[in-house]
Formats: sequence, structure tokens, C-alpha cells
Amino acid sequence: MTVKVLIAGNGASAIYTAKELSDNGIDTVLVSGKAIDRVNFLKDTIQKEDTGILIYSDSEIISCQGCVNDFQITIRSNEKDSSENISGIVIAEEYRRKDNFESYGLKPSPSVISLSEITNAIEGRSNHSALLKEGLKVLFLTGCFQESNPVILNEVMTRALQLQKKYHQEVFILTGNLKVGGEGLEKLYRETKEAGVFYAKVNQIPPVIEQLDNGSVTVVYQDEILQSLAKISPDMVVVDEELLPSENLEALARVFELNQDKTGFLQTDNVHREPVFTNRKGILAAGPSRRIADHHAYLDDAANAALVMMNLTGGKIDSDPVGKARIGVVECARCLTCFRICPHKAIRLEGRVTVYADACEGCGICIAECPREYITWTGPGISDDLEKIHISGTAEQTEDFIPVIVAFCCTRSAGKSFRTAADQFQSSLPKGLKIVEVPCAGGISMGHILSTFMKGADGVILLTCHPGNCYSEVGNQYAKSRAENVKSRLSVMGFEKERLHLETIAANMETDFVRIVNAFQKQLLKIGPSSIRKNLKNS
Amino acid sequence: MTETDKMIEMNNLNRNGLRSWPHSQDYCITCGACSSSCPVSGIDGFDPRKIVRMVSLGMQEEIVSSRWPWICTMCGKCENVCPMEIDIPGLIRKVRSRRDRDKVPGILHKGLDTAIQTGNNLGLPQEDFIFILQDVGEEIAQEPGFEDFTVPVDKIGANILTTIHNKLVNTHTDDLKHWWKIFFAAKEEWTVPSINWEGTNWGLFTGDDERMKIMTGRVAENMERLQAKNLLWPE
Repeated sequence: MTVKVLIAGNGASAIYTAKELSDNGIDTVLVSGKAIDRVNFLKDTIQKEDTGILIYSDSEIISCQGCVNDFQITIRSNEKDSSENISGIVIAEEYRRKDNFESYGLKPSPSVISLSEITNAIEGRSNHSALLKEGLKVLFLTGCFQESNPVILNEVMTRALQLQKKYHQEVFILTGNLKVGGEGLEKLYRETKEAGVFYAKVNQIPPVIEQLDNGSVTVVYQDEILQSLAKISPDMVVVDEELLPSENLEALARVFELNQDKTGFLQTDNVHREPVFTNRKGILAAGPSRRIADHHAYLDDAANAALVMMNLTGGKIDSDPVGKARIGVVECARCLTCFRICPHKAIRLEGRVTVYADACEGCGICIAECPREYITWTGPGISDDLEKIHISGTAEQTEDFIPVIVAFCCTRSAGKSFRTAADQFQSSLPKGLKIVEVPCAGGISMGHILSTFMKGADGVILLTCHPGNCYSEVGNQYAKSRAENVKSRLSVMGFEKERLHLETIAANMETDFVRIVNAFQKQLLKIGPSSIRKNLKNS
Repeated sequence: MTETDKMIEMNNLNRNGLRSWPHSQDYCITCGACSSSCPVSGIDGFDPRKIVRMVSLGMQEEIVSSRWPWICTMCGKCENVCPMEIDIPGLIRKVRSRRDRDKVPGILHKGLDTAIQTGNNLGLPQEDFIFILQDVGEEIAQEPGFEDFTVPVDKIGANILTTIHNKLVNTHTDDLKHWWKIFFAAKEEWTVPSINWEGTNWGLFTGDDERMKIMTGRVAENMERLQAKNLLWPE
């Protein structure tokens, strides 16, 4: 089957991605929220007409069923619905800009304008010759009250340079910390300095900005080098803008069931997730849809998206691969817990409840949450690993008591830090430490924890990824709430709740791993052997 | 500090006046490496970064009348550490050059005037100078192993001609002895000129190019007159 990819968007990001895909022989469908003319659009952007790119202009994506390699998408144009069978999806919408007049306490006027307005004037898109008059004193306000953004900073410096050099204006830039880390920004900064653009940094004391009724502006700020106040009354003020997610993004996130960050972008700061990936397999966020840091990332994201799409099969995988969730056919009571909680949207509701094997990431959150324990792993799972652990009984607390610690380690973080620790500090690890590596801490069920105690473990420790770093978004949160739940039950049962412990850890924290397990061992030495272990017959 | 207590009126500053200066002052990223390397940073509020900033801002009058540029010892550490390769000592020298000569701090101004008139900053007469040299020479000759030591004044064709810092024939005469003894022990052919021997060049230090040239020219004249092969100019 051929691979067919859908792109949502119509700006630079969508165009670069469409070009990468079509250059690699992938069928592409582009859905644009606004009206575009196919022939002109392709001629102007991809610079050829016979691309094989199908364009839905002035259209809306209203539903998405299925999973990677086999999505069914409904697109609505002119009140008519069309259906497309799609292998993968790239969300490639542009930024929405919001002017910052309000945060600087300014009202827009002929001499107080936004960054977009000066860009339009310079690019000749608007007739604003008054803005480009020679000799004007121009003040740019950028990043004074919030972090500067590399995309905006690039535009501020580019326009400042043009005004100073080409239009012979006198440019001042009032800024917070100038983040010149993006590609080419430091060079641009030097060019502006060379041309005579003047910068003042205001980090310690916010500037006082006053606008008179006639529109003129006076800014008083603290020159942080000279520790002295400075006053400037510019002829023109250019106010920076904030980059917000496209207005389409929220609807797209809803249709495709994608996680958004606090400001609405489609990728959270997740160290385990590679660029362009979202919480769903086969659905990617490229460019400004995931808040890229600089304009070069448009091209990188387009290329990365094409690489991912080229690896799709264009059809469902028939064989049952190992390490996925599988729902018991007969037992399932259709409570839909799994459907509701799956962070990767890999549960299928058609007749009976099944798992989209292609989309399943094998985190096991559904397995641990299924109230009847009717979901299992294909191939060996956590319970099989627990089977292999043998614990021998022990008498009352003696001097040679060695606590048995079973550590459930998320393979992406704690598993890695354990392996490094075992390699480098083997002798510093507790003698009774037993490791159970799990695909995600969210897959550790209350049953797993309790059965480990039943086997005679003196202590159980759950080592999960740090908050916000879970590859499955919420696995570490599930682990935390289950641990708290089990602890309260242990207290009721008269079993020391200190025998269960949870810590978050990262893959590069091997010394912390050693510290954490040793501290836990110390605590267990104080409590002594578990009552269950004391009653075990020595085998 | 009084220099910048007043509100800086950005609208009144003419940055173009100082922008042509070739010291890369506009590249300053305000990192402060110069401030922390400077041995006199903090004295009366001085900080090399402030000088760079004032020049970059075009605060011409303020910086020229400020005391700060005269606190600098021209050691050059700041320039060494500056990541943007700003020529801070050159910048400070340029600022100093902009001051009316009669407003240059007293000792420098007076010393340079005297040097131009008499050949050295102290106005020390030639016979006094030669007397002091010979007196120090005689002291050395009293030390064991240096019995034959004499000071070779105005010797023609020596390998080394050395200039003298005025303080060495004033308050620090003992400091002459160490290297003179080394010359003697190494059997070096060396000499001291009897006129225009001054080693310091306060024309250089105060940003006075014209008088710097006069002082330097005199050293060159001595080299030619005495046909010396090498110049030792410790200052």
C-alpha cells in the first residue's frame, strides 16, 4: 500500500513539509483552513504545478478515526464532507501574533506601532513612508517584561539593522536578556552594533514608559552599567509581539486527541520525546505548531517529519508484535477505563474493545488500571519478571540482616541510571537490591506492589521519571497515586507503610540512584525484616 | 559617583561624534570581564566597563571631564580578557587626549612640561645626573668582585643603550644596582646617555601624541649619536 500523508496548514511550515514529502514520492494531502488557489499556491511556494499534492482549500478537519498507517479522516469543505484514508499526519500551522502594547502600557498610534507594522512597511506591503523617514529616533521595546523569543528577536534585529543602515534612522533597543543562542543571531547582533544600533538592558528595574495624550512617548530606564537613570523621547516606538499558537491548533488538538502545553502548543517539554513527535504515533507537530526556537527549525522539522513518514508502511501490521497491550476477548466488561486513560489513544472501540497494535507504545498504564486485570502484555510482562525473583526467609533482626529491596525502574530513566551505577559503583549498591525494569512506571499495578510484599520483600521502591518527563505523559503520575493508595492500605493492614517508597530520577543520575537506594536500605535496617519474610519457610 | 548622578538625556547625545573611534567600543556585550580583571576597579567608582559604555553612548563631555580615565594604570589586563576584543587602553588614551592640556592631572602635566624643556621629568641638571650615576657606581665598586666597576656614560658603539626611569636617580637609586651588576658580570658593552635619558613617556600616558613623538625621537637620537646596537627601554 502507498503511504499517504495529511498536512494541516498553509504557511511556510506546511509548504516545506509538503515539498519534502512530495520530493520523496509520498502522496500528500494538504488541508488549509483558509481559501487558497491550488495552481497559484503550488507555483508560488513549491514552484511546480504537477506535484501530486491534493489540496483541500477553505476546509476543516472534523474527525479522525483509526491509528497510524490507517487513519480515516473526514474533511469538510463547502458543507460537503470527504473522507481520506491516511497513513500519517503532520500538523504544520503557523504562529499567531499578538502585539504587546498593553504589557508596555502603550496605545497604538501613528508613532507607536507593532513589529509587524514596521516589517510590512519595510517589505513594501503597506504604504507607510512616514515610518521610514530619515533621521527618526526609533525605540524598539522587546522582551522587557517577558523572556525574549528567538524568532521575534531575529525580526527585531533585522528590522533595526535595516532602519539604521538603509533608512539612516537612529535605533535604540530596550530589552531584557537578549537570547542570541538561535542560529545566526549573534552575527546579526554584531551587525546591528556595527551599524550603530544602541542596546540598553533592563533586568533589575522595569522601565517607566509614559505616553502623553498627543501620542508621544518618554521612557526612563536605569542604565545598568552606569547605574544611572537615562531618558529617551523617541520619534517612533516599535513594540514587539508575542508568538501564540495558531487559532486552528486547539480544534486540531481536539480532533486528533493531542496533548497541548500550557500555552496551547502541541508539544510539552518532554525529554524522552524526539522532535516533531506528539503523544500519538503517526501524528507529528512541525514548526510553530510545537513552538520552534528559530526560523531554521522550519526546515529541520519538515525534513524530520518526512523521515518519519517514509518509515510508515502504508498498511496495518498484521502480526502481533511483542510488548503491546492485549485485551482479553471474553472477559472484557467494556467499562472503557482503558479507552479513557490511554495517553497514546491506541484503544479501538468498534464492536468490542481492542488495541491498535501499531499505535500502542506498550506503557502498560491500561494493564495496571484495568479494574478486572483483563489486559495483558503480548509477550512477557512485569508479572513474569516478578516470578523470577526468589526471596528466602529470615529470622528476627540480627546484625547480618540484609534487607531485600525490589526496585521497579522505568527503563527510560531509572533503568539507565541503575545500569550506569552497576557499572561504576557496583560495590556501593545494597546487597539485597533486586531490579525489575518496566517500560513505564505507569504500568506498575497495585497488584504488582502487593504481590512483591507477599513474596517477602522487605521494601519496594518505585523509581519513575521526573514530573513532566514521562514519555507517556502521565505514567509517573499514575505510579505516584498508586503508591500513595497502597501506602494507606498498608497502614490499615498493620504493615509498615515506610516499606514502600517512590522517588523520581533521570537517566543520568547514577550517583543519585546509589544515594536513594542506600537511604532506603538504611530505613529498612531500622524497621527490620518484613513480617511476611519472617514467616517464609527457608527454601 | 558624581560623573553619572545626573539623568542621561539620550535625545541630546550625539553618538556619531565618538562612533568613528576604532576601538570596537560598540561591540561591548556588558559581560563585565574587564571590570573583574581591572586592578583599580572600584576606586572612586571606576570600572572600565563604564568608560566603554560612556564612549559608546556618546557622552563626550562627561567622559572627558571625568576623573575615571585618569585612575586607569594602562596595564592592559582588560583588553586581554575582553571576549569582544575591545581596545580599552587605547580607548582610555583617546579620552585622555581630548582633555585640555592644562587640565591634565597636575603631576603628569607638570612632569611632561619639564621633560620637554629639560630632557627628564624631574628637571635634573646634567652634572647632577652624572654625579648620581658615578656615586652609585662607586658604591658598587666597593662590593667584592666588582672592584673595577664604572658607569659607562656616553660610550660610543656599545651593544646596549639603556634609558633611566627618573625615580631611579631620585628615590630608588639602589634599584639601578641589580642590572648594572649583571651587565658587569656578563662583561656586557653598555652605556647610559648623558642627555635625554628619561625612560618614561608621559606623552604616551596622557594621550599627547605630539609630545610622545618628541620624547621617543630623543631616544632615537641617542641611539644614533652613540651608535648603539640595541636599546634597553625598561619602561
